[in-house]
Amino acid sequence: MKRMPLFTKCLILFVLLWLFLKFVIGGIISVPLPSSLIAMYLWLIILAILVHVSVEDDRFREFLRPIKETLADESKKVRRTALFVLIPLVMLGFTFSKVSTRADPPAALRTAHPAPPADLTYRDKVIGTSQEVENPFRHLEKDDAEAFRVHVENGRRVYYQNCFFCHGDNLDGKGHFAHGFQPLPANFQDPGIIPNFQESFLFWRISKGGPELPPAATPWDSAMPVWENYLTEEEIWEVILFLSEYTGYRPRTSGEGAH
Amino acid sequence: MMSLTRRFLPANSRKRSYAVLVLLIAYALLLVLPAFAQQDVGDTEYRPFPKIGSRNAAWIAAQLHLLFGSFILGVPMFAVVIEFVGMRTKDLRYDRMAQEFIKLCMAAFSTTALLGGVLVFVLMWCYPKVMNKMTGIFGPTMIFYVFLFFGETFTLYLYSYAWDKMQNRKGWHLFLGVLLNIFGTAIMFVSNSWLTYQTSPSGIDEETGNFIGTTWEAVNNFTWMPINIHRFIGNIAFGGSIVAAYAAFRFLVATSREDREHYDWMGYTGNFIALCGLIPLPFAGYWLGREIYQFNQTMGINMMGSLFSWLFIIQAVMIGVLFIGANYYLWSGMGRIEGAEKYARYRPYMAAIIAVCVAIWMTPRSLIATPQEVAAMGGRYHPLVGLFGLMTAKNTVVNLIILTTFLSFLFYRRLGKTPIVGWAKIGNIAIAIIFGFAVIAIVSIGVAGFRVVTDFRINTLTPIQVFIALFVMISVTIIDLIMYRRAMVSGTINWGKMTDRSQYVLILLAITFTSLMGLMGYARSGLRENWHIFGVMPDTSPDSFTPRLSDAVNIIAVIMVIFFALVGFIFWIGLLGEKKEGNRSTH
Amino acid sequence: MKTLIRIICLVLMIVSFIAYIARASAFPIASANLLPWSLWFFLFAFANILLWQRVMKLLSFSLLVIWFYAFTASIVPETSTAKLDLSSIERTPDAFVEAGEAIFKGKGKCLTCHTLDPSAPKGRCPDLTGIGTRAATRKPGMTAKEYFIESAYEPEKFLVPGYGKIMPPVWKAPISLSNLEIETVIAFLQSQGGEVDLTPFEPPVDTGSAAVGVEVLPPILTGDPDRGKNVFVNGAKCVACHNVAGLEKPIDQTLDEGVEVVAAPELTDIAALNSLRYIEESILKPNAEIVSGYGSASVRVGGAAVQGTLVSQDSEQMVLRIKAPDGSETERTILFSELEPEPIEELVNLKEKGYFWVQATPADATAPISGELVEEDEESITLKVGDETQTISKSDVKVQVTVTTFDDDEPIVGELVSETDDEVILNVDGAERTIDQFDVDTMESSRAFGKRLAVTSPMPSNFPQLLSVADMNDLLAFLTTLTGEAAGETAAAAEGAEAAEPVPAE
Repeated sequence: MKRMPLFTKCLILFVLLWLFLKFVIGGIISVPLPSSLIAMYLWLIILAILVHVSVEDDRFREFLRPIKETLADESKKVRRTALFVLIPLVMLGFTFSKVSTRADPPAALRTAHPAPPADLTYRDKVIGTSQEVENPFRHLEKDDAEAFRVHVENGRRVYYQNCFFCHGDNLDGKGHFAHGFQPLPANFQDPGIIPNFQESFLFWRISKGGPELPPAATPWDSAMPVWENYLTEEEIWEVILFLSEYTGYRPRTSGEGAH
Repeated sequence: MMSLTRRFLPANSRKRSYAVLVLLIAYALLLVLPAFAQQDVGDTEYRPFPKIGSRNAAWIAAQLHLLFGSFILGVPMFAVVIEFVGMRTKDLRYDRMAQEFIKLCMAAFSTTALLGGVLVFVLMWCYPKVMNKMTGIFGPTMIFYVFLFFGETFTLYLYSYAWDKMQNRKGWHLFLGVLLNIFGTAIMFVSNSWLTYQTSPSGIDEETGNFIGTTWEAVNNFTWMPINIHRFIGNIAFGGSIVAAYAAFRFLVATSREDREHYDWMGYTGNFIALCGLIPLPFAGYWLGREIYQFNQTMGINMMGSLFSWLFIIQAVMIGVLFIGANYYLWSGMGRIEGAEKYARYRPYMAAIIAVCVAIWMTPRSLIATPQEVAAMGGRYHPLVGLFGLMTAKNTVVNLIILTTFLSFLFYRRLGKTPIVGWAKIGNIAIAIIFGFAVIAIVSIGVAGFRVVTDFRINTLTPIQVFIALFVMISVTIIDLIMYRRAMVSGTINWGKMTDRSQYVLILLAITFTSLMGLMGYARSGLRENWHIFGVMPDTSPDSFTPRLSDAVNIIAVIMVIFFALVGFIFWIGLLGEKKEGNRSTH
Repeated sequence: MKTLIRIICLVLMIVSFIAYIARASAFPIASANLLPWSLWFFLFAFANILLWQRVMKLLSFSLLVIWFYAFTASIVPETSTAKLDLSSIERTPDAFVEAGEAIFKGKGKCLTCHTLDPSAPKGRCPDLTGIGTRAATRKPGMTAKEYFIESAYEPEKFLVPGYGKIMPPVWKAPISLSNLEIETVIAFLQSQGGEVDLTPFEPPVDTGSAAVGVEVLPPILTGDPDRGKNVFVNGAKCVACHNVAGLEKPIDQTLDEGVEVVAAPELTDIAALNSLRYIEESILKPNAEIVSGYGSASVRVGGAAVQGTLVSQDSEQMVLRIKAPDGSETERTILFSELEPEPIEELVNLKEKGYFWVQATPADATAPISGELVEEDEESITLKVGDETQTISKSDVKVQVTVTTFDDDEPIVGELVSETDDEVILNVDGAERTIDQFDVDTMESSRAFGKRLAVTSPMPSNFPQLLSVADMNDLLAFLTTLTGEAAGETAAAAEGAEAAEPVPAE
């Protein structure tokens, strides 16, 4: 039996990895990956394969042999002709797909973490700097467990009266209205949400909602209402306590080195 | 002054006198312009720069000046170390290489000064009011700066032209080199104070926003030291990588076997120094980031999470390229040593580990996705891959990449040698166990990082991961050193036996490194957003906005092209000069 | 020959690099898209790397690396804080569509609710794919451009079936698009399948009055005015009685049985005239404050109950407007002396119930005392009898009981002596009479008799119980929007729905 050329082997490996990303990770194990990410991974796979085959001269020659044969060998004329027809076609398709007008919105990107203003405010009243303001009820967790529970319960009430329509009864962002929103409501069960933010940050996001996102953090469309118009300062702090108690994630206390 | 320089320098070529002329013009600009800026500028806040706009003009001039500055600061550091190594090992190759670089440095020096003058001119012209304010605060340091610049110039000229004459007084010559580096570093520290003050001003009266502090207070602001350290280490790495790129260029155009051998070795040495600088660089960067966070949280979050977060994904791509490239170069280098097959079989696995780690490192937290894809994911964050976007995953893979790179280096070191100590086998097993446990520990800490409180993760888990990685590197190096101290040489290094591809990788590394500097420089400067001096002096010019990332990177690309064109030109001049010397010596 | 090809390739590579960096229009198909030049550059750089040796190869490689990073950055979706400067925009379709797209996706925040993708899940607002062609057919008699203008400035005028009135007028805060910006967005929407028409137009509303960029902090109200409006019209059917300019009264058949249509105060500008507190009270306690001329009075005259709207009253008489079953209305003057005393069951809050004349029998008296009700507190009432006043303790009043039994046809009337589970003992004209509870059919007791003029709101007094808290909040939110200013627009909208031409706002 003829040994399989290195180039073919690499091609098979590439296709296998692509299938793995597309259908195993994006189907069997978890939900589908966005195409931008798959493209990035595929480029990386190509790079890794090239690194492996090109480190040594001998192997690189072997890898390139089928390509050179296709380009120069008389016996590979059919393959060559097919290639020369195919490449312009692929390029044409690529250009067309990029140039043609499409009605669908472009792949959007959302800033993971918009920057809060220097001063934290509630209805124009300055509470303090975003860096230093702490949840006024947080200390009760140690000092007075009873009072703390009361505040958490208040937070629960506030949540289920106002927030759960969108953020869901399990705090997973799957409320009744969630499907109607273009950026989906935040999923508080995600380990990347609550632990990454200080309580002052959560306060800012809740009190100011979508309309007061800083221009620097665009595109960050959000349908979140300006809750300071509806909730009192204490209620917002209480609902933050509830978010952290329910999910079991603690907001961070220092603002250093977040990514 | 002309006569002074003439007397000092052997005026043997017209080229050199041009360089001196350029320098003098630069000095004149430096001295005159601050005085000019002190004048009453009236209500003129901004003057437009034709065609490209004030911001772009200042940006290009500043970044080019900075890159050349890094070059003339980084290369002498490199040269002094190499000269010292050469003195100790009595290996003339080192001395030759160090001298070659100082010559290049000379050519780059006047360009740097000229670009500095252009920068000052552009700033004075376009931003009179800002410069007026800055000179008001930093006036004394600017005079100091000019004197340092004189010092730097004369030491560099002495160091360079006295190289051959002082061969017998190497100690004194080295002292000159050290002095040169002290001047250079001091110059960098002084100019750093100006730009860090813009980012994190100190000595400000909270009420009025006026500066009420002393000059020293303004200099010693929040981000000054972190930037000094970051740039100092960065310059070492940058100098190394430029040297390696120069060597690669010379390797590729070399015709003789000796040249190939020399430049292969030079590329290897340069790359080694670049890597030595590269590994501590992230820690210095982390410190800088932390200081920025502490100075102003909004700024910190803008940097890492918001406005500039995508810039850090580009940075991740570049760092990925740096590590893959560095490993590729080490693996290619195994080809020059006999008996490399022994370790070659591990290579695919190492490549796979690095590829997977880089993939995780590059995976952004919030993914670029169309609305359908978002709906299919059930949210903006992918339930599995979205976790890679979190800091704990990134810290884990960076440690793994560093360890893998270290392993590549370990293998490279061992090539061509066979240990003769009796416990060699046990030693190898011990090293394998250390690596195994370290990887398991780092990965499990990383996984645990998803569930713990963020503060605990930042303050405890992440440092533990770093310490594990450091422990592995130190302990394995010690074991390895003892094991191979009197090793039997079983294969020789064939310098010059290197693929052309590996030389292209060296050039890739240099460009990547330079682009990374351009990108991070933009981030540092852009963080001020619409402020000239953060929180004190707002930018009201038409340019007071943050450009789109692609626009910013386009400007950086233009800077890169100009920089490498100029550097290429300097290399080429160096090549010409050598040929002339070569011709002369044969006559 | 080979050298010539090499040089051509080199030049083309440099040209395509510059074109890419300078963002030149794509070649050969002109478009704002950057990628085709990137493709050209990539091909030429690759060709150069293959064709050249040494220096030029190196140069091509370096350029390729530099380009690669620039390209990587360009595939990331853009973020910029640059304000779109439209001051020098050219009046060309391309420029307008480009600027409009940026505003549509950025400042206008349109994509928060709208989609541009027919396969996307249904959003809160209609999908706008192909809106350029569809716009002309949305509203009969309106061109696409006119429809776009109306939708941008007065989005509530026409609602796509199935979607609510949730789009804010984009020229108002917080979105605050300028007229020029709205023009560009219209151009962009027209480009979605239609012809771009750049004829300038006058905005249909006076946008100068909008406090651009200033957001007035609304009161803490949890309700949604739109849903409140629905409660107003369909849920609580307030609109049956209250008039609000622009809201059509439903035809009578649609009302539930038993809902009586009476005149009620106009609410078009209620929020401008009264405080939120007042509106809230009026809903929760309809009788707390009755607008003069809208109270409903019910009196007994000549053995019959008379009900009508109190038109006026003085110390002697009152005028009631009475609605006959056939719908005709007559006014009737009634003297207070004509009124018949009604039995009073409990001596509580007499004044509030409208009693002005009371007759009661104290326990120690034989004859009842009657007179004008002067004062009342928890324990006693004070009556003006003749010229003097007399105070009667509430607990001391003889209770008159009228019992009908299953045996007798005539009711038994007497003072109550005692009442147990088994029997009722009455004093009938001095003689005690015991009645078995088992025999009692009905038993009415009264402590006194009184004349009253009860003026109540025709609004059901249990109104608060008819609505859920959420409905109530929504209703309140809706009422606070009734400042009279929007009336013109909504009125026009109502008429505009019938007439094809939109009626300009007042």
